[in-house]
Amino acid sequence: MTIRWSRFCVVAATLCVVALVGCGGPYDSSVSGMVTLDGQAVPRGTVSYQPKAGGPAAYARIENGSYVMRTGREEGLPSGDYYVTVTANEPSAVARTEGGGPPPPGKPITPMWYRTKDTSGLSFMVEPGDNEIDLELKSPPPPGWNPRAHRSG
Amino acid sequence: MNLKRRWIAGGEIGLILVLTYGCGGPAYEYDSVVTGTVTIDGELAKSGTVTFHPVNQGKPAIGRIHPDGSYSLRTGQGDLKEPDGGTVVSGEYLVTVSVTAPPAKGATLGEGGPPIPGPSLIHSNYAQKSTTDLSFTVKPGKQVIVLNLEGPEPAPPAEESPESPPGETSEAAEAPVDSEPAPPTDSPPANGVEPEAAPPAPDNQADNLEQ
Repeated sequence: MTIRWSRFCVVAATLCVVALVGCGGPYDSSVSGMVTLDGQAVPRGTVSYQPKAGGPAAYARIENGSYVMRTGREEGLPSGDYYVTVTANEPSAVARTEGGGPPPPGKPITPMWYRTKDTSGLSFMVEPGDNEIDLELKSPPPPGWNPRAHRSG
Repeated sequence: MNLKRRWIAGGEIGLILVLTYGCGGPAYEYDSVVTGTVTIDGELAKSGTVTFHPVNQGKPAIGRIHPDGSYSLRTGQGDLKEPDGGTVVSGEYLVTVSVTAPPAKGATLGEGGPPIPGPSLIHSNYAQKSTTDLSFTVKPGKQVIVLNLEGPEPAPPAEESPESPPGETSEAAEAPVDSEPAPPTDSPPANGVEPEAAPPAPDNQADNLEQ
C-alpha cells in the first residue's frame, strides 16, 4: 500500500518535470555580447544570426552597444554554426517628407559589407548554453570589396 | 485492496491526461503556433501588423509587431488564457504587412476622429494580397517565420533630397511605381511589361523558413 502510494508519487513527479521542461524555452543556446565599430560601441541597429544549416534566422536589436539574440518571440537560438550580419543606420532626420511621403533612410552607421552574410566575414559557432560573442567591426573595407557590386543592405 | 489499486491507476491516467492537455491548449482546429521576426532593409521593425490570409477558406490570422521586431499570430481572439501563445490553422497563407510611421501630431480624421496614420515604412506591395510576394505554408506545430521586407519606394519627386545615402534607395528606384494605371485606350507592349518589374527583389528573403 505505501509502496504503491510512493510509486504514484514518483510517476507524478516525473510527469511534472517532463511537463515543465516541455513548456519552457525551446532553444538550447543563448547569445549576447557587445557590438563595436573601431572600438566604439554601436548605439543602435540590428544583429542577425543566420544558421549555416538553414532555418529561421535569429535577430537582436542593438541597444547602447549590447545585444541579446531572440528567435521569433523567444530568447535564445539553437546551437550550431552561424553567419552573422550587422545593420545599423542613424534614425531618419524627418518623420516624413514634405509631401507626406515616407522618411528617407538614415545615414549608415556600420559599413555596408557587414549587412549580408556573404560579405560580412563574421561567422561563429554557437555552443549549447550561454555564449558571449562580441562583434568587433572595423571601418577599412575587406580586400576585394566592391561597393558597386553590393548596392543594397 | 483491489479497489485501491484501481483507484491509483485511475489517478495516474487522469494525471497523464491533464498534463498532455496542459501545454497545447484546446486541441480543435488551431494546430499551429507561429511566431517570427520582421525586418525592413535589414533593421528590425518597431511596430505594425502582419496578417496571414488563408489561400483557401478560413479566417485570417493576425499578429502585432512588438517593439523588439517579433510577432506572434492568432486567429480571432485566440486562446484568452494565453494571449501570446498564438493559435493558427495549418495551411497555405498569403501574408500582408502594415508598418507606418507614428501619426502626425494633431492630425485626425474629422473632428475628434482617429489620428491619420503616418506614411508607410515598407514597400506598398506588401499592403495587399494581390501584390504581396510573401506566401508561406504553415505546418502543424510550432514554427518561426521571418519576414525580410524592403523599405518604401522613394516618394514622388516633390522631395528635395538628391543626396540619399549611397546604395540605400537605388534598388527600389529602378522599380517603376505603378500608382496610376495606364489609360486603356493605347496599350503598346511596353505597358504589358511594367508589372513584371514591380515586385520587390526577393534578394534578401533567402532565410525565410518554409518556402
